[in-house]
Amino acid sequence: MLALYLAQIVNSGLALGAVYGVMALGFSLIFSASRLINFAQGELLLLGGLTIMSLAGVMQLPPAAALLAAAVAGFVLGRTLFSTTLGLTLRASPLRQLMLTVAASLVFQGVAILCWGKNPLMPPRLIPLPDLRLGLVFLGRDTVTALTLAVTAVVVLGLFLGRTRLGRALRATSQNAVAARLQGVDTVFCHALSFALAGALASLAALAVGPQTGLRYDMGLGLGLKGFAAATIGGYTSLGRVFAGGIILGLAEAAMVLTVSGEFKETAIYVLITILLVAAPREHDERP
Amino acid sequence: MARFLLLVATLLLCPAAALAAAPAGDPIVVGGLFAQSGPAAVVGTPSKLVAEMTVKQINDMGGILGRPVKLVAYDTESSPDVALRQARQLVEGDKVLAIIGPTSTGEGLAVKKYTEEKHVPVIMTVGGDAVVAGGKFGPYDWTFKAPQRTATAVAKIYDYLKGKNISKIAVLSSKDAFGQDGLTELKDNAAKYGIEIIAEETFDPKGTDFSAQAFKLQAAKPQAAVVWTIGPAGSIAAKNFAALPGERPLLVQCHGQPGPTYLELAGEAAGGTVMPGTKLMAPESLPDEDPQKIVIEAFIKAYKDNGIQEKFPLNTHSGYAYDALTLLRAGLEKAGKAEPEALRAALEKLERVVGVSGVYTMSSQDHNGLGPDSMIMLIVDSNRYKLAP
Repeated sequence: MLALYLAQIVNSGLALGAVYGVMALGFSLIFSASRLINFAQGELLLLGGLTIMSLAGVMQLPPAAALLAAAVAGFVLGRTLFSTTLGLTLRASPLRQLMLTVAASLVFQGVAILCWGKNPLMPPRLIPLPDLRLGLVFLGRDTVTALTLAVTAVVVLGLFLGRTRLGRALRATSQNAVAARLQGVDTVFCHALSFALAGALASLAALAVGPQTGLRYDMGLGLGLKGFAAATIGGYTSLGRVFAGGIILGLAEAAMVLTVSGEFKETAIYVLITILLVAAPREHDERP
Repeated sequence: MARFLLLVATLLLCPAAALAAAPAGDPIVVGGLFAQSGPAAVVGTPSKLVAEMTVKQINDMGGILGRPVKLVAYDTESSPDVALRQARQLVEGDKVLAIIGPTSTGEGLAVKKYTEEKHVPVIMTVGGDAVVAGGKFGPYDWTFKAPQRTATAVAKIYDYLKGKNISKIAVLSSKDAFGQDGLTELKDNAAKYGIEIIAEETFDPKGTDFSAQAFKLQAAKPQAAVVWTIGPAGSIAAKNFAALPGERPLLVQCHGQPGPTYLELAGEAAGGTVMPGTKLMAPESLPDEDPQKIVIEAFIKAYKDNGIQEKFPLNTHSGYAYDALTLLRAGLEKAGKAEPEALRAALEKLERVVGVSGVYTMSSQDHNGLGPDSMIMLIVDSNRYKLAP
């Protein structure tokens, strides 16, 4: 019985955790580059998912094309978000920039209602991976899809940041924007790029979460907050740690739902996050 | 008798009955409460369109008692508070004779308390029984309801399960009034059918994932799992059950689910699920002697001709507003005058009124008037509803 419960926690926890992890990466990218928390991250996922769903409605999308389309749609959405928020207020106070992302999240929600209505929509499964059974552990197809997408995204993002010139420029901007500018890095372009990449990540997360729970206009905030929490647990700097933060959060949530009750899930999760944030050892490399 | 009813139904529905004199005099004002936004909007919005269509049909056929009918409809936003406010507006502002609607059980309970006090006949289109149950829910002298009772749907489900030799079931119900109503009826009637409820779980109908509940229920090893909710939550539950590893119980949905939305949202997870529904869901399966057949066929045609089908493909709830208005008309004709007390008394005495959802026979105790024979068991097979074998 216990083994069954554990297997179920692993199965649904990993599905949720992978999505939280990818959302957390988006938060971290933008935060690192611009010191800004993007409150529209959840809506990037929503609009990205809805766009892909509509696209899949009018044309055949094989898995590779779906991935590409999601990445492109998310990239464009993220870039649009940048030009309507941070791009307009590069020199403004951080609070103004933050408020703009909150405003953008509500505007995006409005766009979703206008174009797709208020009823939940169930996108098709565009990445048709099978169930996976490893001994006692059973991973449902949604979990397999979410994990595969998330791990691939982390690896590709890691390679991009570590091995390419552009990726290094992005990291330079996040470590010290002034020094990077002095070295000839176009930091504004890097800010924009971080938004676009966060959009692409959110859109990929939508491919995983959409067929599980459906897409509804008001889903962005909840998912976004979880991503924010996961990024905070992970510490914003290391890709691996941030992603692990998401996975931990997902597993904890699944465990709560099964053992306590669905009703107090959110309360319990945020109490846990509070404890983690207060008790966890502080980062040594806190940046100026 | 059946032949006579057929004739009456044909006459009532046939547009050629425009021979009837054009209605004249002051209109009979009927209030309409429909959830046109919020979670119940999937049911409420088409209900309003059907009500408008039916009122037009009635007026084209000479109105009621020679007078035209005027519908004043408001959006209840799926909220009991708003529904009550709109009911007050209808009674005190618009001076309606009677009200049809609202859409959800929670709204119905809120409206009922007020309309019972004010002595306004209300024919509700809500799913739950609480509005006409009496007891702790208060008197229901002025309240009627067109959709089948929860108990009727439960009886239909239990009959079906018994026929399949299923005796151990699990119940997953939503925490709203509709879900709790279902849970109560399922519990109260189980023993009568030799059925044992071995596990139960509840969920928030606005939630997006109930796999934990589905998992716990499956762990109890029931032969069938009954899900009681309206709206998208039912589809999510079906998906969650389908995603579980191991042997899965037969999935039974309640009478609130049959419709295209369930198929769309649940996708392949809907396959093989069974549920009770109105005969509207499988008109081709009705024998010719079924008195409802002709009414249902005419209704479906009008539904399509009025362009409602395009926006809201036909589902099990589509006929309720039509039935409420049909009952209202039958009541007024029986009463012979447009007066609340006479209408109330006449509604209670209606016999064999043929509607889309069933053949209504009311009494002072039974303010719904439909039995299990008004429903059919449906099964989802290759993305379509069929009569369950």
